[in-house]
Amino acid sequence: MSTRARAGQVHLNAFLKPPGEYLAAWRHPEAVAGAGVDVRHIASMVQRAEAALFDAIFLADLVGVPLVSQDVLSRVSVVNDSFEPTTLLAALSTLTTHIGLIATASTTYNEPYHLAGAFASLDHLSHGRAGWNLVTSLNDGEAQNFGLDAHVEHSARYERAEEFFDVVCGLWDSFDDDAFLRDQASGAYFDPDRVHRLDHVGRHLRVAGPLNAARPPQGRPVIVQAGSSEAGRQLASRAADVIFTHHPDLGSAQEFYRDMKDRAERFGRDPGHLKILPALSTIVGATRYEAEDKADRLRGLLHPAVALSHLSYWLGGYDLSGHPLDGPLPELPLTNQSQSAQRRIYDMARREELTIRQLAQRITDDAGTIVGTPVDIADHIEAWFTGYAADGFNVIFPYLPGTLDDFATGVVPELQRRGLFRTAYESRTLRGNLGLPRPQSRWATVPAPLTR
Amino acid sequence: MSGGHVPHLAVALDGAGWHPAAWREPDARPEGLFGARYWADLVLEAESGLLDFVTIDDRLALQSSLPYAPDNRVDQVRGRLDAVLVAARVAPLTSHIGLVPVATVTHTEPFHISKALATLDYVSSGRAGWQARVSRGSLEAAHFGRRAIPGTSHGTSHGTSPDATPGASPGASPDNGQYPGSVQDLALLDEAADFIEVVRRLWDSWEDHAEIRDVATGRFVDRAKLHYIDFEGRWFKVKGPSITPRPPQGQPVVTALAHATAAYRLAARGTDLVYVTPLDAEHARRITGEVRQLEAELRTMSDPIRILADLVVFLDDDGPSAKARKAHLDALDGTEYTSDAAVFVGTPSQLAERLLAWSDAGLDGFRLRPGALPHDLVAITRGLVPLLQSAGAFRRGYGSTTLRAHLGLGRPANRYASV
Repeated sequence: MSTRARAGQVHLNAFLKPPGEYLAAWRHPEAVAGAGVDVRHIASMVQRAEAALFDAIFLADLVGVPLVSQDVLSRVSVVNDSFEPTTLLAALSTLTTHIGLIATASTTYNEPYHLAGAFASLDHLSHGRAGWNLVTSLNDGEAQNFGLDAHVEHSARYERAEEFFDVVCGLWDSFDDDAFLRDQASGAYFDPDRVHRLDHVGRHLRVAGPLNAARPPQGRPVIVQAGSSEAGRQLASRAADVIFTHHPDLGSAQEFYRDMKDRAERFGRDPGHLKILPALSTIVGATRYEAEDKADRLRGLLHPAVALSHLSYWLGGYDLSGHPLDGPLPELPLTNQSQSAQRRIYDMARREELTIRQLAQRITDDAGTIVGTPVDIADHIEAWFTGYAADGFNVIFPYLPGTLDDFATGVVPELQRRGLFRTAYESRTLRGNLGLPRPQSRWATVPAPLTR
Repeated sequence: MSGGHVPHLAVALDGAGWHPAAWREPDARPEGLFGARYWADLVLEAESGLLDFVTIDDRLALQSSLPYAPDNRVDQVRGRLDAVLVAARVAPLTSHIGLVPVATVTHTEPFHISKALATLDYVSSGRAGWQARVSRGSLEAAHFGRRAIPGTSHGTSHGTSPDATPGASPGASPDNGQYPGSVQDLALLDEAADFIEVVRRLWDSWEDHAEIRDVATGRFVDRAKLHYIDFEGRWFKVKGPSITPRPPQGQPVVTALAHATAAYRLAARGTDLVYVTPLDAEHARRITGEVRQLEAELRTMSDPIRILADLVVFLDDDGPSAKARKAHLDALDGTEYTSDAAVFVGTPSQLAERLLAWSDAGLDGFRLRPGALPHDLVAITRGLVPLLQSAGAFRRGYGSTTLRAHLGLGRPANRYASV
């Protein structure tokens, strides 16, 4: 253990997307019918993740059904049924004690006052376990639920997100930690000198403040960001505590890791307080043969039309039906959705000279899924961690609950054996478990005690 | 006590109670207001009294004793938790009682609210409701800016009460007894009506059995059972469908507080239940008459609207103690507490008589606003409720598990389902 090139331990987030990330996961024999809206089932998975000592679970969110073909939509569950995540997490916080609870909320179609109040409330109600995955919204199907005909343009979206983040953080600092006196005898409920208006007037937002909530137990709920375009990297390195990212190989992950830590440093931050968690999708078996067999059975469940549409979605909604399936990917206009995803897929197609059919298959089937034994997966984790490509992983589950259980019972003990993962929670707050300090208020005059 | 029946009884929870000095009571737990335990204890207490539901108040600004501006008071409760999240947090700890958070319509998006309430309905297995609240004036508007808000000529104070609109809940704010009628108020109510309509359509945008999960054919969803709602009105343009399937109750229970005709109209058309604020039995008769009349003219929903009268209550074992306690709280606050709703000060037995007398006036029940928590809540669950039960006037057990069923409301047909 002492020979390891890097001290410390990995952080693991469980990205729960019942019935699983793989588009045909709902067809898996183990899948629970109605998994997306089965509260009991979701709660049991969160409890399993907590028993396995994951730092956090993460629930994604969309605010609209993507406008793709009806035929394809009828064949997938992933984009079709889900809860409002902060409401669900409030309920799940009742059923858990340590695990962090992270939800996506869009800066494009929310108001910062409402969102700051909701995440502050979630942090209070969970005693310091809330996290906010700050996203900009992706598709026209969402825009049309908020009075707009088309999706907000990429740069305006990020500009608003930057401003939105600042406003939300400012609102969380409205009350100093010691602002509430609640002195029944004197009648002083709070100290007005320890309450702060924000009076923000910016390009996109106008918010007076103060927020109507006490400062969250964590000071700030944990901020997660996943953009990896230039604008996304700037925002993430300035704002995020945790970055979810996606890399096909060690080299590109290392480059991203270095770049983000450098950027964080340029913002005057301690780079150690920016945790980079690449996606890790696994199918685990006791033997490689068993793992491959599980993967093959899963892939066999996918309808080809779904694969093609999935590819088209990630390319920015570009309709590929006019191009021959066995021909090359055409030149594409720059998407207004996820530009980094488009670039990654495009580069892969060019590099490996893939046809559209092969590419669709690749995007859907592999998605970077590692198929192997617990030792194989732990080797990968250790290589990326010691190689400074990752501070931990955003673990993705191709189908649930199978791949979560396999990870918890196989990979986690192997990581613990290597000293790479905790054997008990260090803290009851998400910041505490991630090794992040509690940020002091922008109004604090005395440096906060160093709490790690 | 004889005759009369109280079919429905609810409690409105807000902070340390509705009296602004309630947090200074010896049994108050002001330090708990930002904790889950405090709210769980209150809701469990209400459930032990077999109440139909609790409402949990909310608004998008700090509380203020002034109608349209922040005040300088430091001796009243300030700050609160998001009511929808509080309701979701206590849902797994309770099993029967309805959970009805306030959510403001004026500065929020119907798509978000519809999903949040649908989610609450799932996590509570069919016990979700919603008190739709309108926000008037600049106090809250100052925190928002994206959507154009009807009538935000800031400081629309034509002597109208900020609380005299659906869902606006009095408490810390003074009530001057005047109710809305200005153009701005009507526009806010119109916007609220559209908001409720969008939320309801989104709840119906999935038919009940849209998820077919046919493994053999590879069809997860029957897309013919998902519907665009294509709402286009003066305030909103929403395409749909929702991302959340139809909630367990089909339509969670929509409620609103109303004090005047324009708001009764909105309630009669779009809500399942309205809170009204009669001052006496005769007044209650007039109000219920007006609401029923509007209902006959405007309502298209199959179930009749439920009408609950709001009362603020201060309860003790003897009348003088209750009066003394209220007077003490008033002295602490420096003003006599009044409200848009009638304020009752007395014993649980006197309150039982009052409720039974009023229930003849066409009311379906009552929503009591405890003056101080937990004191007046406990007096309701352990004092008032047993008295009503022994008079044969209130349920002795929950006969159902969903809020709609408690209220005698059917599970509504889906407006988009082909027969």
